[in-house]
This record gives sequence, C-alpha cells and structure tokens, in this order.
Amino acid sequence: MVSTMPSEPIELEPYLRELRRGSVLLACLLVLEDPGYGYGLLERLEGMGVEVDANTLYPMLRRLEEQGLLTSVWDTEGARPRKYYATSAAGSDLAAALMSAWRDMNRALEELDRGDS
Amino acid sequence: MSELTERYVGATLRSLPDTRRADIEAELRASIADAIEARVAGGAPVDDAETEALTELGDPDRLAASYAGRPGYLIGPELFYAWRRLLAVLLLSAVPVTMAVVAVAQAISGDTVASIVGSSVSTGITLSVHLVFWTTLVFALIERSGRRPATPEWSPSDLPPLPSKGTVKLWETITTIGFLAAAIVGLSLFARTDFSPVTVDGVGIALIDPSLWSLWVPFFIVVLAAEIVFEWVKYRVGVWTWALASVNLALNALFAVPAIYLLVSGRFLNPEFFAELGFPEAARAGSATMIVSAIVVALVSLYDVIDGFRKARMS
Repeated sequence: MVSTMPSEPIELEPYLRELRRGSVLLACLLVLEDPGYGYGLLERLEGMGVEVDANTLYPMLRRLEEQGLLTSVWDTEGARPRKYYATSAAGSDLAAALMSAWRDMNRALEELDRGDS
Repeated sequence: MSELTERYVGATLRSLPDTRRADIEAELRASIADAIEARVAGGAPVDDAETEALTELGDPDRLAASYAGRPGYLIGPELFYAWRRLLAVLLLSAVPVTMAVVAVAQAISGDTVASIVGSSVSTGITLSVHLVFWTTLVFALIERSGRRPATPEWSPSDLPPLPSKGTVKLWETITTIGFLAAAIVGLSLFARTDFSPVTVDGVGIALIDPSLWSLWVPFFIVVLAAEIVFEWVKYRVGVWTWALASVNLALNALFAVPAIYLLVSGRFLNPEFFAELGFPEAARAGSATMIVSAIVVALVSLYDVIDGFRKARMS
C-alpha cells in the first residue's frame, strides 16, 4: 500500500548539513595550502561555495593544529594580531588521501545516479 | 571593543583551561573584530554588525565546549548501553534485597509497622537515587577521560539464545523477586504482635506463632533471601540449566519440608489467634486447615521443582 501521508516539502537543510559534515575538514586542508587566518578563511570558503559556520570552523582549526595537520604563526604586524594557519606536510598527505576517496565516492554516486551500476 | 563583545569573550573563556585561554582569547577577539569590520564595510551600523557577528558565533558555552573538545552529552552512544545494563542490574538486585533486609532488621528490633514500611520504602528510594547518581557520575567521568574501559569486542557468540520455554524472562524474575521480598516482609510482620488486627486487652496476637522467632522465622527469611539471589543468578545465566534446577530443588526442599512439618504439627500458626477469631480448631495439629495448607505448600513446591527440570531439559 502506498503511504497517503500529506506530502510536505522536504526539509533539505539537515540532509545538506549531514552531507557537508565530512567535507569541511577536507576543504580546510586544501584551501590552507595557501595560509590564512580565521575570519579570512571563513570568507574564502564561503566565496567558493563551501558553507561552514564560524563556530564550527574556529575550533576545528585548533583541533587540526593539535593533530599536526596544520601549522600556525601569529602575525602581529597588521592592524590586529592574527593567527595564520597553513597545511602541514602531514595535512597535505591526508588531504590527498581524502581527495582520492572523495573522487571514488563521487564516481560511484554518479554511476548510481545514471543508473548503470 | 564594546561591552557585548567583552561579555561574549568572557563567557566563552570562562570554562576553558588556563593554558589555552590567552591564545584562544586573542584569536577569538580578532575573529569577532574581523567579522564586525566586514559587516560595517558592507554598510551596516556598528551595533547591528556586532550583534549579528556574535549571533552567528552562537551560544558561548557551545563554542567553549567545541574549543575544549568536550562532548555535549553526559554519556555518549558508546557507553550508553553499558550504563543502562549496569543500572538495571543494580536497581533490580540491590534495591529489593536492601529493602527486604531493612524491613526484616526493623521487624526483629521490634519497631512499629508504620516505621518498618516507612524506612524500607525510604531506604529503597534513597538507595535508588544514589545508585543512579553515582553510576551516572562514574560513566560521565569515563566519557570525559578520553579513555574507554576495556569492554570485550562484541561477537555473534554473545547473542542471547532464542526465546524458548527454558529462557528466563526479565518480567518473571522481577515478579518473583518482588513476591519473595513481599514474603520476607509478610513473614516478619505476621509473626509480630503489634501488626495483628486481633488484640486482647490492647495486646496484639500474631498470626504466626511468635515463638518461631527463636529459629524458624529467621530460617525461612534466610531461605527466601537465598531464593532472591537464586532468581537473580538464574536471570544472569539466561536459561534453565541442570545445575540451576538442582539448586531450585534444594531451595524448595529447604523451604517446603520445614514448612509442611510445622503446619501439620500445628506449630506454624498461633492457636491464640484462631481462638480469638472463634476457630480454635483451625491451628491445631492435624486440623483440616493445616493439612490443606501443607498440601498446597507441597504442590506449589513440587510444581516449581518439576517445572525447573522440565525447562532445563528443553533449553
């Protein structure tokens, strides 16, 4: 029997958040090959269409730094002191590995979407 | 920096460890200032820009927890089931047994019925609250220690057996333990003079012969307590085994043989009690009431013993 629930528009946001969850970390590692600071990074990611909340990004940068995937330097020359992060060698290796997994996943999903699985 | 930002930064840093505070503070201040600046550059009034920037950062407690890597829950999914299992075991075993022990101890020391029931119930409630609190606290601390206790890897061999006739069901165990605990309380109460509704010159007359306190009442209480332990062990084992059925036989014999002997010989119930009710014959040795009671005890025990062996064979 077909469900006769009144069809409400699907709330897309929770699914998108779920989908994005793993990708923000990878986006960070990739974008920080070119060093950046907290808010600047937020704007760069948003400019590229990667949606991320400030309160997710800032703590994540510190976590990645603690894990040795990012390095950081304080720049006290500019208008205000800023902490610049950059992807470390280990971070680059991880990014490469994750990117290849991402491509595999993407290819599999594309094939499934085309229906020739 | 306006007051609002100061308060936001203060609220975030409050719960962070000293060693990391200065660095996080400097970065957070810069990030907030950047965000405000970008909004002002976009044409927003300063106050609005600040409110917006802080709103976007969200609840400072959540931000701090995220900085500190603290989980936003008391007990996570990894430990939840272990916590729930342990709590169930503790609440279902320790609480009824303790309540019964308290009731018996008070009965022996000669307290009033109201005070016996009162202290038994309040002890049960207090103990439950303590068990829940301390168990949860320990699990919450384990959750935050970052280490996991060495829980054995789950494997398919850990699966419980399919429900069959021989499977011990939880509700049966709970019911039986409750019944046994009630029997202990009942036995200790009915053998006391101050519980009886029947009084002569203001002195209560117990239903069960109070002289049995010298040996048999404590003996039956011990046997019933042993049966509570047995019920629990049986539940943990999960199915009836030959060993369990044999222990069941022994416990039933320990209870039924003296009970039948006392009933038939007219020593179990208090003759005065029945005399006062107008049935002096009922409690005498060999009376119909006593014989019928003895037969009932014998049949119930026999059924229980046979049922145990039958279920052991089937499982």
